Amino acid sequence: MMARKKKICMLGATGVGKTSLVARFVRSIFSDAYRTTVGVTIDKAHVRVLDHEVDLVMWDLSGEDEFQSVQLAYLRGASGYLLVADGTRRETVATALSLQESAVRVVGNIPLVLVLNKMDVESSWDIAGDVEKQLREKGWTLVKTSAKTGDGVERAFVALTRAILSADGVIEERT
Amino acid sequence: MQEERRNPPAVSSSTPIARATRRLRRAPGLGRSAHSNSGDREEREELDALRRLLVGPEQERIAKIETNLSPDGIGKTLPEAAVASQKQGEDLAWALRPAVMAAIRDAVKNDPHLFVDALVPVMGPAIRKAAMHALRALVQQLNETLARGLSLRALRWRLEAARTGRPFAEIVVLRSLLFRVEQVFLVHRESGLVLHHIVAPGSPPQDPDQVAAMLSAIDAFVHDAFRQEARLARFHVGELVGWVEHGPAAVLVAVVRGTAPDHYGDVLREVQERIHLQFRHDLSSFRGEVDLFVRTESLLQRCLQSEAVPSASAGRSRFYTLALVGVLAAVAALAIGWHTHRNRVEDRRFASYAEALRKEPGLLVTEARRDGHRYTFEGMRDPLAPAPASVLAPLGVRQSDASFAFGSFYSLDPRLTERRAARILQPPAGVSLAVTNGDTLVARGDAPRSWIERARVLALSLPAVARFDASELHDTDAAKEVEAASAFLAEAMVLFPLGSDDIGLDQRGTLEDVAKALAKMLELAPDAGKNVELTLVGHADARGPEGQNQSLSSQRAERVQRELAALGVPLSNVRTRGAGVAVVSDDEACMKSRYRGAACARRVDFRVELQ
Repeated sequence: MMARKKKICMLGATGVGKTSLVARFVRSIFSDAYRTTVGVTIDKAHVRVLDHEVDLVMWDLSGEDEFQSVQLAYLRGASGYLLVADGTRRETVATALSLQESAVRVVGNIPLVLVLNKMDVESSWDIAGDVEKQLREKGWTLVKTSAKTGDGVERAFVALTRAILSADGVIEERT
Repeated sequence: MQEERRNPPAVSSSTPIARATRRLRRAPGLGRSAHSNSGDREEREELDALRRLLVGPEQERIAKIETNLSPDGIGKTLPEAAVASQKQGEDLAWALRPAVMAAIRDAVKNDPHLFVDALVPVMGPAIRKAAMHALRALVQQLNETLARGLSLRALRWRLEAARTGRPFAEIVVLRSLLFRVEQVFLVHRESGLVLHHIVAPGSPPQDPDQVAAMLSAIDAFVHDAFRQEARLARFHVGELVGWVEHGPAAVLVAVVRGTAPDHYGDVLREVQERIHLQFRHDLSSFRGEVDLFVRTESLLQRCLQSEAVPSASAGRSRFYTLALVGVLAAVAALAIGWHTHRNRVEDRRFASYAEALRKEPGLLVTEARRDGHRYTFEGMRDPLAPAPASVLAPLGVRQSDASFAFGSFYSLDPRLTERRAARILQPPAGVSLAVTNGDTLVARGDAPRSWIERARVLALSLPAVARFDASELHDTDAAKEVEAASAFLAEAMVLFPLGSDDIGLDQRGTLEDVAKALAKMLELAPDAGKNVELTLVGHADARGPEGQNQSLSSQRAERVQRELAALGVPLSNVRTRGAGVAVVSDDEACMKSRYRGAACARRVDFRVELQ
């Protein structure tokens, strides 16, 4: 089976836990300083979906907030991205949606997985069920994760990989 | 239609065509014969009609061709013809090439400015780009030259420049071009994914994907931040220099340790172009299938260059190697010298050992060998000569260091002959033996007669002894007999009658005893090594005149001498003396004898001196 490499990005507001999610998944060779200087750090992980071996080169983009904007140019060439929001902060969902719209302008409609992080404190979530429902209605895959406990993290990355391979026509879309 | 023209069919003479034909035949040229104006007009109209009838379509086509052949017409049809020709092949281009080339040459010759004006917009950026590359390389070289301007290495380069007569800059460039390409990345331009990656042996391994992605990020960052069309072309990290060659779909990145020559950029450019040419389809449809780009390996290998110029450390190590060789050679020379010296000393010592053996009487050295500290001596040895080991022992040669192989023989050396004589003859104390004139054994001292007689026989049986000289050997037995005879004679006296020198019968026995003792003494004295002097002393008594007595005493001594001679005693060493009147009272000899008084005074006594 042919090995593949895929560039994916982590998008989301500042503090939603993008870097923690990646750290749960792999160990970075770059220090965190890159994120503040260049606006990105790079990590790599190996994922297996069905019989397909995929190397994910993950671009962890610095978060969007009132002081800095995401360098969307880094999205170029990406095969997909994780759109990360913090379940305890409703505004981060809005930021994610806004970022998704910007991303579409740069790279078009490429596969994405919406990640609602901090499921370990789901009881104190700020997101009503209707919001979650709205998000699901967009047809996106939605994965709840906890970077703290590790729950759902791998599932999120695998889901994105599966979506990417499906978009490439390599595997059948899961129904 | 054409058929009809070539083979005109038979026509009726009454038809307009027949009429017109006839007229045509009459007329020498169209429109030139005219008999009258009205008739001409009529004929012309007919001819026109005929013309329209006969060649109308041709005329239209000719007119069209004429239109096409006009400048306007050719202007329209030529591009179409060129396009049509290109579709069919390259024939048109091939056919036109000489003419076009000639036209260009002619045009350039006549008006060069025309081409300059046309090319400047194209070449300007290209020249600027090339000049920029060259300047950048020059600045880089200058920077490094300045950096090394005051270093020890620079001083060495200056010396080298002075020594070889080459410009300093040339030396700097020569010595600076030390580089090694450690890694080459082929990176997908859009995604930053590594398509292929090769590493020089021994270079530190890294994750190429993360490095390449970060490079892409930085490139994108710089590009966006400064809003410049130029992309990241070169980056420096300590001793490493990243050379980035951008292509439309892929970026070639070489990580170089040291300073690569500027033409290395050409290598990267060429490889980048080849990759785009060979893999354009794979690059344009890239969806992460990196395995496809394994085939770029051989092309990327061409970028994995290195240049090893003899370095200072190599020079140093060469110097150290030479120094080490020199030291080793010196040590070896010293060792050889020392060894030679030791060997010479040993040789001399060994020669002295052999010489000591040769000097020893009774030893004959026929072979002497040395093997390091082991000595071997071979030869002959007289049984009376000392053992060779005992000769060398005082010189410090241990028995374990030497081996001896000596056969037996009799040495004719006089010293050995003396030893052998002493051993065989066993002389008594006081007798010495010596060999003189090579073959004469001389014995000296006092010895009993029996030993002397035995020695006379045995000596001549000894090797190398031809004569035995006993002249200086004293017979102790003879000496005793001589002493005894001497003592007898000292007391003996021959008596005489009054006033006479006659020897009475009573004195005959005494005279014969004296004769015997004297004869024996004289005979043995030489053997005893004695010299005998005998004086016969005559005496007279006090009666009678003094002069007579003196004469009588002499006569009596001479009378005894004659009597002894008559008895066979050799008297060569015998003297006589007349002592005159003997004073009896003082005469000790007389007092001891049985004759006393005057009778004792008329006598002859014997004075013996042994020397």
